[in-house]
Amino acid sequence: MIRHIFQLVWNKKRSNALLFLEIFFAFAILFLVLTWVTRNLRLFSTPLGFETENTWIVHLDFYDAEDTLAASETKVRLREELLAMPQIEAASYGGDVSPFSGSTWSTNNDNNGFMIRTHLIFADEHYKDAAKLKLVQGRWFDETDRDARYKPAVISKKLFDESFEGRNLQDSVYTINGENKIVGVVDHYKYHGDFSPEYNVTFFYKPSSAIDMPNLHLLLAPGTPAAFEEDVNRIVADVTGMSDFTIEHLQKSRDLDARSVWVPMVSMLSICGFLVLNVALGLFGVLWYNISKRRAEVGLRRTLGASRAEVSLQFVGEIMIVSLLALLLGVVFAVQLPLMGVLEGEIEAYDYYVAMGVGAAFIIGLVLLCTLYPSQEAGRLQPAIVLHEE
Amino acid sequence: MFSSYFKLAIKVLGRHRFFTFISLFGISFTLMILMVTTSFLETELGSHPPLTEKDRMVLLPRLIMKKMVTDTTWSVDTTMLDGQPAYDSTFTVGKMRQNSYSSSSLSYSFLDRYMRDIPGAEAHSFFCADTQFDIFINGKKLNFKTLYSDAAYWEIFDFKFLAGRPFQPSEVERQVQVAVLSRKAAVDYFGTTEQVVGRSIEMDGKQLEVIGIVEQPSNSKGYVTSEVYLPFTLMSGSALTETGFHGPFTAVFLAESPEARATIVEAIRQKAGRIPLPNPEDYNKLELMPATVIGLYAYHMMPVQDDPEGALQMFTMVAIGLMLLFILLPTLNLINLNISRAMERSAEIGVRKAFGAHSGSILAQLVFENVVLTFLGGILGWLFALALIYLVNDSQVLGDTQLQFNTAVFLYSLLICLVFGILSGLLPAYRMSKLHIVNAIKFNAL
Repeated sequence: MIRHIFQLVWNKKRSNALLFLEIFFAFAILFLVLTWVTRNLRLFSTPLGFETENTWIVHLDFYDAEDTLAASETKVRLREELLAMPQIEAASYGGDVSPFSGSTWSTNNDNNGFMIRTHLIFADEHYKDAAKLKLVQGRWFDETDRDARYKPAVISKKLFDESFEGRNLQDSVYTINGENKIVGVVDHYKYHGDFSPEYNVTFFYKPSSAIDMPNLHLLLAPGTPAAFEEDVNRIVADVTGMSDFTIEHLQKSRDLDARSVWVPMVSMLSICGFLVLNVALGLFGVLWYNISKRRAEVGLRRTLGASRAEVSLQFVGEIMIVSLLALLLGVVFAVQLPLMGVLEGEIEAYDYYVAMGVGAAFIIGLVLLCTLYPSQEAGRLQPAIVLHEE
Repeated sequence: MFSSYFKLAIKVLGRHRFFTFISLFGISFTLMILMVTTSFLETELGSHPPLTEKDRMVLLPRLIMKKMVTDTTWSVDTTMLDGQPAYDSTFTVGKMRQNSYSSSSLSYSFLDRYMRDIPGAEAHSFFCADTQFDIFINGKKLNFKTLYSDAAYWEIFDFKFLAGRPFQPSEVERQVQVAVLSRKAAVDYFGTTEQVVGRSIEMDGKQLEVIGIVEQPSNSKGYVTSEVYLPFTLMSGSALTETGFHGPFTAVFLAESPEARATIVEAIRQKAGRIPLPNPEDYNKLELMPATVIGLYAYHMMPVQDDPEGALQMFTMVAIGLMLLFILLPTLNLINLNISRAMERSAEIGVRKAFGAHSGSILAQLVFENVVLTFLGGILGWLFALALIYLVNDSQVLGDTQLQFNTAVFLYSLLICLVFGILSGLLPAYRMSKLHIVNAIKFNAL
């Protein structure tokens, strides 16, 4: 039976070649788009690790201060005044690198005898509460860290897994950025956005009063009205005497950042959907037409004792063989990408294989859907009528 | 002749409604997407205000400092020499390796000192597009992006002034408190764009007199899109006096012609090698990254570090590749359908051939019919495209970018239709025109 169908397919190789090409390219496009979508969704599924709801960041700038001591005092006073308001639950100063800003500070070295690759973030002792970070080991910074002999550091679990698994954190000093003592490990910190890979992160301690800690993170009580922002603005302006600061709503920045991936992703998927629908309709049309041209053949087979199902199966089989061959070729090409590790680090083998599987399954389903109705119709043809036509 | 072809084409289309629907669906959606893409590219990369002279511009958005070190590996061999152990040490000097890396926009003092006399540049401007202010007016927060520039900025970027004028060199020099607003900012702040010139806006603790209102740039480029434009001498703090190389400034140079840009790019690169670094302990290599407008656009989209030209090549390749892949599928589909449909007409073609028609004229007829079909689909696609562009602009999914559908896009679309029609009609028509008369007349015997 299979051999027979192969023979039939081969006999019509010229018209089948086009079908073959069409399915091959449909798979190729689907595979590429789905790989990208799978990667994005995989990254999207890991938690951010810090709070964005009800979080504002006041972007200040103290670098121009001539009297740094006065600026430090202003900073501390500002934090206390804001914290005194019932709407503000926590307040913390952070370094220049703030979430979703796109800025990065990274370092790597092998001074400890093993490789450490990490992004650097500066935070004060209040940041854990302001961002609701989750610690899986050790502790967050506290007052005592101000005069610590070795600069304390808190690393992310990802960095821990990559470089510190099985090493002693308690009594060792490691060189990360200067000589550091690792005091804790946080769960996640994906500060480049929902669709960004999680990078290794190390937090370093700096007190709130430091002038190179310009970003004031505020955690608001749930349900704080938007109008409250004007009050915050006024207090900041009054205390600091500055006017060129801005208040960022962290959730908005997060949404905006995510939208820059959602929009192209949804447009690509819709374009893909259209292409596939187009192919499906075309397939349906061609099949319909081919079957209507082979009515006599169907009549003859039925007269010679073939059942309806056998006739239908023949048509489905013919298209299926062509489709499967095209998919096979597609997979042979597609599998090269994970095997050669194309874009390794950005896209994992997992993404390629998921995309391959989903893409192939989708196309097979589609082909089945498009062939089923015309082939059934073919099975229903009355031999007496179609042979009479001839 | 073509009128009869045309009549025939319409008749054929009416014969099998279902097939016509499938073809038109494919054609119109394909063309719609191509038209919207063209419109997007034209909006983002076309020459319209304030970037009419974009092909003559060279931007300098980035200064890179690196520390390059060479690794030296020592190895000691011990050998027995005359019964005594001897040590033989050798070392190999490895390749230059990058140790530290720092990349950012530039400081005003650096630009002022080194970038004023670039050969080949007709004009240059330094500006800072990096500041934002929150302004509260009637309980509503306005976030105004502010661009500080010199007066030359307005000569290089030809903004369309709805009212008023740009600031003059003398005003910049004397730190006159004047501001140019974008249309959106004027509407947000004053509620109108009428008679706003001469009124004042309170910002940054200053009362700034509005002297001009500019039309919103249609495309979203950080170095032209802003709400407020101020003389750079109004910048507060040490932004202008700081002597480090990194700062918030970007430079733009205007070449005499698009070809002359290469001279400027080369001159900037060369210059980087001759500038002494202030802190050779930390960084010992200075690089400048000049970029064309399109190069910088590609640079922001492609994961290429510090290389706008490489990014542009990659961007072009990816765009062409995607486009081809995208057109290929509907074309194949249409060819497939067309072959099926044309077979049906083999008898007609056989008769025409029997009466002396050349293969060429049959080919022309079938391709013409397909072009008619494509143009019908094109009209539909054009309507869909207009609707989609309207939706995209209305919902602001692209942020500030407002897609346009202008004559250029329309002409491109016509071209796309024609190419698509010929491409998808040629193969089926060729096959039909080569049919043998006897076989053609004997329908079904293919």
